[in-house]
Order: sequence, then structure tokens, then C-alpha cells
Amino acid sequence: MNSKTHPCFPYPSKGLSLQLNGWVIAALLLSAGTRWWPGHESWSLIARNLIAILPVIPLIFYARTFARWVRGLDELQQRIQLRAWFFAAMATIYATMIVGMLQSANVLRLTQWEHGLPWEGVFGVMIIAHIIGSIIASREYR
Amino acid sequence: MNNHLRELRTEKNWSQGELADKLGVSRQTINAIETEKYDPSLPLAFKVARLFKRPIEDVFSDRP
Repeated sequence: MNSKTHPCFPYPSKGLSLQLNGWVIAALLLSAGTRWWPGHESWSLIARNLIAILPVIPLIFYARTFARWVRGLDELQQRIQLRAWFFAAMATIYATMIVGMLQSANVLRLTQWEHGLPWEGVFGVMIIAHIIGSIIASREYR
Repeated sequence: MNNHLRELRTEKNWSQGELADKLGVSRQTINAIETEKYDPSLPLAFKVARLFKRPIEDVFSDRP
């Protein structure tokens, strides 16, 4: 177990936080780069699709780094993380579903998101929900 | 599940943090076990029993 685990709420170490943030920044930069790349509209469909999903690669590394951290935690902290991720997954699913339903009912008119929610927003909701979920799950065992 | 972890720990004059270090878990885990909010896994329960040199049923019990 990571001996530096906080007694009440497990935070990743500074080095690990840097690594996690680095992967998110890499994904954001790749996403922005592929969106604003000059003349990308003229590329072939396959090339455009491949480039559009490039930000997934750093996000896979993000998940790998996070999973490694969770594996290093003790059994109670792992249970807390499991609950927190379940909470985050459910919150993200419900949030995106609600936005979709409101858009279908024309209650919410988000013209810039009519082709789907931006991944940055969905990812952000998931991270915030994970933090809330971690706090809730951790309080249960305090 | 009931346990006598707090009694055993105080007999040895160990803090929750010290016991956590000896078992390789967080202090929160020790506190959650002592307050019976969390039942440890079988490997951790055996580790606790071995540390206190007691049979596992002396430390943990499913009877009130």
C-alpha cells in the first residue's frame, strides 16, 4: 500500500497528479490541434476519423495511470474508489441523458452541441462526480 | 462482524497509525475495522491475527 495515503481521503501523490494532469493536457492539446489544424476538412474521411479520435490515446494512458494508483491502495481505499467510480459513471450517464432528453424536447437549445456533447465537458463532469463520490464513500468509513 | 482489535491494540500501546503501518494499510482502514464499519478481507484478518499472535477467532467473531 502507498504509505503516503491520506488517513481520510486518498489523494494521488504530487508526481502521480502531474502525470494524470499531463495526460489530460495532452488530450486537450491534441483535441484542439486536430480541430484547428488548417485544411483538415479536405483530408480523407478515414484520416479525419483517425485524427479526431487521437485524444483517446492519452486518455487511455490516464486510465492506466489511475488504475496503477488504485492497485497500490489498501483494500478499504480500493472499495472507496470502486464506489466513487460507480457514482461518477452513473452521474455522467444521467447528466448526459438529461441533457439529451432536454434537447430532444426542445427545452434546451444548445446549437453548438447539436451533434453531441463535447468530450471535455463529459470528462469534466465525470472527474467532478468522482471527487464527490470519493468524499461521500470516504465519509461512510470515517 | 465483531472484533477485539481496539482492545488488542491498546494492550500493546499502539496507535491506530502504528498498527496501520505494521499491517500496511491506512489509518482509516484500522479505524473502520475497529468501529465495525468495515469487515476486513480474509488475508487481512489473518495478518491481524498473526501480528497479535492469536487465533483468528480470538480477534474476529460473527457472534454478538
